Amino acid sequence: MKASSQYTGGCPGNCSCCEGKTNIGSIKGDLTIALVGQPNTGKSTIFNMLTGASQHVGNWPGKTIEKKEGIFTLDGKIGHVVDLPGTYSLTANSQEETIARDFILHHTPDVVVIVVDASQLERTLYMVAEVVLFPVPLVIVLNKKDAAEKKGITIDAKKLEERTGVKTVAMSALTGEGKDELMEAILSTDSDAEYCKPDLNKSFGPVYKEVLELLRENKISGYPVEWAALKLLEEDKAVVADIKNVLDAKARHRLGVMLKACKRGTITGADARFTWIKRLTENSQISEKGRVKQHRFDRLALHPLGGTVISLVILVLGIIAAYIIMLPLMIPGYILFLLAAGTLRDVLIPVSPLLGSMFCDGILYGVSAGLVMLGFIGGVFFILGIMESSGYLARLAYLFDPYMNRAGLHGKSVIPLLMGLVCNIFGVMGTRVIDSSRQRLVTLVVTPVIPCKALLLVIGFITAIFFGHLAVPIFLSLIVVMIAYIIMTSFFLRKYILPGEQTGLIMELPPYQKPIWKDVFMYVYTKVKSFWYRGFWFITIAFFLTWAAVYFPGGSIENSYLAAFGHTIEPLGRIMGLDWRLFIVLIISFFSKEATLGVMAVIFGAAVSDTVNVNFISIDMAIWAVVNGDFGAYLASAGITPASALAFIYAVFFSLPCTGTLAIIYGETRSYKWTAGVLCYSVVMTFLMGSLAYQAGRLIF
Amino acid sequence: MYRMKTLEIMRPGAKGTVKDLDGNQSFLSRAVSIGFTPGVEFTVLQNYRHWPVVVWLRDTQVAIGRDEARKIVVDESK
Ligand SMILES: Nc1nc2c(ncn2[C@@H]2O[C@H](COP(=O)(O)OP(=O)(O)OP(=O)(O)O)[C@@H](O)[C@H]2O)c(=O)[nH]1
Ligand SMILES: [Mg+2]
Repeated sequence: MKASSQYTGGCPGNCSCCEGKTNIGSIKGDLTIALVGQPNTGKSTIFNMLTGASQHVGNWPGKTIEKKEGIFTLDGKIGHVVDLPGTYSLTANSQEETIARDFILHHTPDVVVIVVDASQLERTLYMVAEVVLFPVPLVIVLNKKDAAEKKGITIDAKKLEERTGVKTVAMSALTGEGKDELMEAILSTDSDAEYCKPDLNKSFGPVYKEVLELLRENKISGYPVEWAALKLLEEDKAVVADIKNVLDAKARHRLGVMLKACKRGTITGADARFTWIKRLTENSQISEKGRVKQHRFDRLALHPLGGTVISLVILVLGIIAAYIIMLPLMIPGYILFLLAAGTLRDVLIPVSPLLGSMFCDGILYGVSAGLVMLGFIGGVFFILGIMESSGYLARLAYLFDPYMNRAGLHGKSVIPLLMGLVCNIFGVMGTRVIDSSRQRLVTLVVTPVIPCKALLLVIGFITAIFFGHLAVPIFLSLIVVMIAYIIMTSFFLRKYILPGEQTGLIMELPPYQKPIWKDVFMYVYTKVKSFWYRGFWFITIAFFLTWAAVYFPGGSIENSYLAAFGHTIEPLGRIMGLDWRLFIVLIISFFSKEATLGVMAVIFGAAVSDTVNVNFISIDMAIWAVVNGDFGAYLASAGITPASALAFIYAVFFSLPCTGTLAIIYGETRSYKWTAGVLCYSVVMTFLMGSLAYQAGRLIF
Repeated sequence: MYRMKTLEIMRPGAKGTVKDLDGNQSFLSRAVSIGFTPGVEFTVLQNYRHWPVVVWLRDTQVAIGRDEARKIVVDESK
């Protein structure tokens, strides 16, 4: 192949695609196979089919955002498959697109498999038009054969193969049909094949040849020349900068002149590709002719009012269903809790007060709170998984777009905020679906203010105790302030810290499908697993440390380290009208929101009366125990003024993200600066909100 | 004869052809790669005030924000 004479690929070592592992498939005889294609075409499904892995699959464009490698055997050889993020083109507009492109460019896989959606052939062939410019063995997969046939489209893989010169297989990754043909095609690719390419010469005119000439003269390496010429004419920032860098001053100037002469290259380039696609699909059964088919449900689901009502109903029913589903999963947590509070304690404490207390109060409570949360997460993500697999989740992004716009975000941000309601850890991780890095950071900073399930319980409980039927207006005021907080934080960030232009929603709404249960269960499994590693241990450790701080050195709260610490820092709490007890609870809520109520029980219980049963910790069932007991009355008689209570509620609501969330913020941004920034910001906001609420409370009550 | 307008002000049910696109390179690149290229036919499915415009474009539904829709110049077919 001519183009390959200069292009050798090879990783420069600083590309975004190789964190850690640089040498994928370097062993002789092994094959490295890259899966590329537009979002939602089924790459991860194929990857899972080949390797038995559990990559996230769902009906929503843009799930895979990092590359993932897997292994399978292929006619006695070892195949390394790499699942790449879906991209509409190989222009690096976002981080995911950069990952996919860098992998093809720098790792020169042995075979590139381009996945195309046979039921939307014309649109999804767009990527192919670009990849044929690379001198690598290619295979086109016409996936979702079943869906295409249901739509009445006949797929003629042979014809497409003849016209493109690229090995083409029709398959259905869902049913496994065509898997063997894919393997065969991968093995029989030919590195000297000549592909039919888009006629860039005709579309761009003489300037294309000139650029090509210039690149060849200067022996540009690292890129296939034709593709590089296309990207230069399309004003791809990264390629332009990179190539200008290696050219000498004269050549750089010449290139500049050429590129200036070519106006609106992006459009010309796209046009060239679609012309190529048209030529391939013309006069054949390959493609269906544009029938408009909006699902009847969408007329309602995408209606501003009707759709919003439907979405709220679905979300509420979903939470109820999640509770019902998770109940059996939470039972182990409850049993542990009861054991810790009753039998075990009675048996262990007499034997050894220290060990017994440590085991029951320090360990079991935390583990049971973690287990209950684990069950809840399983239930919620089961429902979210169904919403995603059916295609409904994408509609939520559309519905909430105008509201998100108010906060300078677009519709896709609603997904992480929604997940944040379950547990902020997932909210922060969920920001990955947002394609613009600027909006992603903004969403990441505001997500922690979304009250998670644990915090909602705490707030609900405390407002009810202190304010009785005034609880509802107070709760609503929290929501209003939260919205204002999000809007202002976002405004501040975009104006002063992350200047840039606003990008709005441009998103495919994929067709509905019956939920694919395997995908749903896989989704639940991966979420539960990631909570196990990231959330569960934070909760149990927080419980343990809190217990230790209460227990030592004296064995009771009055003479504990925690109390001593509380008295020392009380002046700070006074700013918000909080005495040392409330202030300590606020600080504990930083370690784990789940632990908050438990600590309150311990601190106030001990302060008010010895007979109070302090065996309850904040988890759901314990709430009922608390409500049934006299805890509320004790709190109310503990000498806390309504203004202090209000300040406390606001401070807890807007308090620091918990340690687990903070750890994830670092994990997602990989930046100490951002993590510390979020931390400082929320410390300041906690004090600000608390003091404002305190002053407001003093005026009102 | 046709009137020139932008996608943002088209009524639901209307059919049209993309005539031209405005805006900077990063918008253009996003828009064309999802299928908004000059000459492409589409049908407006929904267009409610404040909400993104939903169009049927190249065999699928695409939702596009209002600011983005304003940058797409269209020919409305009759
Ligand atoms: N009907 C049908 N659906 C399929 C087939 N293959 C995949 N799907 C569905 O298509 C959707 C997208 O599949 P994924 O494997 O997640 O797609 P992807 O290309 O990895 O998507 P991104 O990671 O977002 O780029 C899922 O809902 C799959 O269940 C198929 O052969 N037939
Ligand atoms: Mg994927």
